[in-house]
Amino acid sequence: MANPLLTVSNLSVEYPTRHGWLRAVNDVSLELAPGMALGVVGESGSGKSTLGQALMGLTGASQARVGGRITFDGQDITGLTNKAWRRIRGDRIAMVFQDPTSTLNPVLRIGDQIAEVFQWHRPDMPQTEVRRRTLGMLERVGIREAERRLRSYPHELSGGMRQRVVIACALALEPALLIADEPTTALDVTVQAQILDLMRDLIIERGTAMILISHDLDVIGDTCDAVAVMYAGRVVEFGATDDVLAAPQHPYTKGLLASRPRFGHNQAVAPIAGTVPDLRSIGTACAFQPRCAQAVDLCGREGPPLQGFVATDSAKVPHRVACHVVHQEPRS
Amino acid sequence: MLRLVLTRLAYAVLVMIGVTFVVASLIKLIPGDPVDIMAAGNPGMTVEDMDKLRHELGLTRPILEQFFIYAKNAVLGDLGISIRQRVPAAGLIWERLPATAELAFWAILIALAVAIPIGIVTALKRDTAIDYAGTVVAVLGVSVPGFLLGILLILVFSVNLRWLPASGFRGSALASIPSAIASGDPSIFWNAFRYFILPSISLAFVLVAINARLVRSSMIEVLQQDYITFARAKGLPIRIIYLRHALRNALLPVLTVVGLQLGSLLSGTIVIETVFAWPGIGRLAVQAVHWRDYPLIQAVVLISALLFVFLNLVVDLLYRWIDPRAHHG
Repeated sequence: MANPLLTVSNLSVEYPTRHGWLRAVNDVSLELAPGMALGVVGESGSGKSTLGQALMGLTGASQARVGGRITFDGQDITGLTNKAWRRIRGDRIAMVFQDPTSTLNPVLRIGDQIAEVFQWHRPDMPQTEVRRRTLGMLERVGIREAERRLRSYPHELSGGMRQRVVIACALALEPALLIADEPTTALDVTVQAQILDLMRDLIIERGTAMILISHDLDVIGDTCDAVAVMYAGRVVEFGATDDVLAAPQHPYTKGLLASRPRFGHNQAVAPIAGTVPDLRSIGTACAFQPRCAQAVDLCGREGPPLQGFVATDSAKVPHRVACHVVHQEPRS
Repeated sequence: MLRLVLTRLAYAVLVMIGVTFVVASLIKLIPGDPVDIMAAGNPGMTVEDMDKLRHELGLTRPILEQFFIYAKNAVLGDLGISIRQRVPAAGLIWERLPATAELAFWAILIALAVAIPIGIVTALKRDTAIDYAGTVVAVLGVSVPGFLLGILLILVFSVNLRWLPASGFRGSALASIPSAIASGDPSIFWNAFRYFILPSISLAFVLVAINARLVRSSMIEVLQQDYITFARAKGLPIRIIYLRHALRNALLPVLTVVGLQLGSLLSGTIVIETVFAWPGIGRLAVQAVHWRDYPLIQAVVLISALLFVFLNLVVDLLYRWIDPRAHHG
């Protein structure tokens, strides 16, 4: 990638537990071009949310141990101080969370919750300009009667409206990167599509790059250019969304696709057998090996690296997969 | 809003009736009536005199009748005549109320001014030496009785150091503020205020302990909320996150408790007012009980209950103002 906006190299995040360190994110490397939308998909506990927090420098409160390197816009942001992080958060990198009901502060007016982003990142901005921009932002995310809504409290809005307000807070300063952690999961199905459309429109018109974290491959398929499939803290497959959805390589990705309920198809949903392993007991083996029907001896001994395979190496986004079986197959 | 106020006022009337009835009944259960007390201090009184006096005071009528007469008069603002002092009981209370009310004000002010910062700091420094020190102070605060602390404070600051007066009351410190400002002479305020210092600290100590723990646990809970993470994700300065986003939410449960505390302080603090010879409601109540001054006892209890109900209403209204969600609750 010529000038990546975000480069994540060998990122690992570990949490202290009573039984030692738990590695929630394990040796993850990613690149993101400006304006690109990357989906991160995985089950609960796959490390996708922790990855999002690490990219915001928000793992600090829990005494997590972060390894590897994150380069954002040419700057190494791995070991930044709180003060330096503060300048990036909300301004250059912003985040949208899962549940808009708990994301907004219940005792503050929504206008103030948007305006404070301007006030603390652009201290020189005059009050009238702060108000004008706050109003503009509220209108842009599709809140009707925005003028009146500035004075509303979060509980006076519907779930979808609240998420629009959260998006307004996040995109107020036109960040270069938006991290959206399950932004539609807590919403009604009818509202989900509206919010996704809104987010897609906003990032396209502003050239914002996005990392969309979701357990839902359909959501990612609709929204993202590329997708990273995470399993037990590792990226097991990475590629252009179309490539991955059309020709999944990793047995886990295949399983994920097969386990989706499909409208109009009369096939039974095929769940993936077994459960996500205890992250502490994986050792050096491939984490998916216990649930994998195609596993060979090698899978139980060493974890497979994330490698490109010949077939799609010429594509714009290389299709990479971490699976011994895939790499051992004769390449055509 | 108006509906809430009206409903609560209706409740208040019911509470008042209940309180009056319970107090009236309880007093009758105490052996000895006011006439016995008067007779004990007046050996020349004959049995006929005593009966005549009982009749005059209405003590010979059935309890229920006494109660209804009292209730009717109370509604009209007449809480009876103090048997001992021969003046309206209501007047005696209004005389004493300002001293008690201002003492309660300073005690709550000190309690909050100390408890909120301690609560915040111990919440932010959870499980450190600072937090453990806070726990020790809290345990001390709830275990040391107010009268003991009061006496210790008198010993140290009045007897040994001679910094502050040991007892007494020299008028309102709050009321002296305007003239202190106007004359530019802070000693006008100080001369009244220094009498408040020791008793209000004695009252505040236990409240500091309780409220600091309350602020701490409330703050810890709030800091784990998603909106705090979101505030951090917005890149807000840490003090804004703590004060604007966390503290306002954390103080909501504290407000309810402080309202109750203020209510009990306003109804007079018998022990502390006695230790510091404070001319408040608490001492008036003790004297009234001592002299079997029925009308005065009833009046003190009734007005205390009224203040309590009123304060709870104020807290409810404040709550609605601070927590916008309560409008719909």
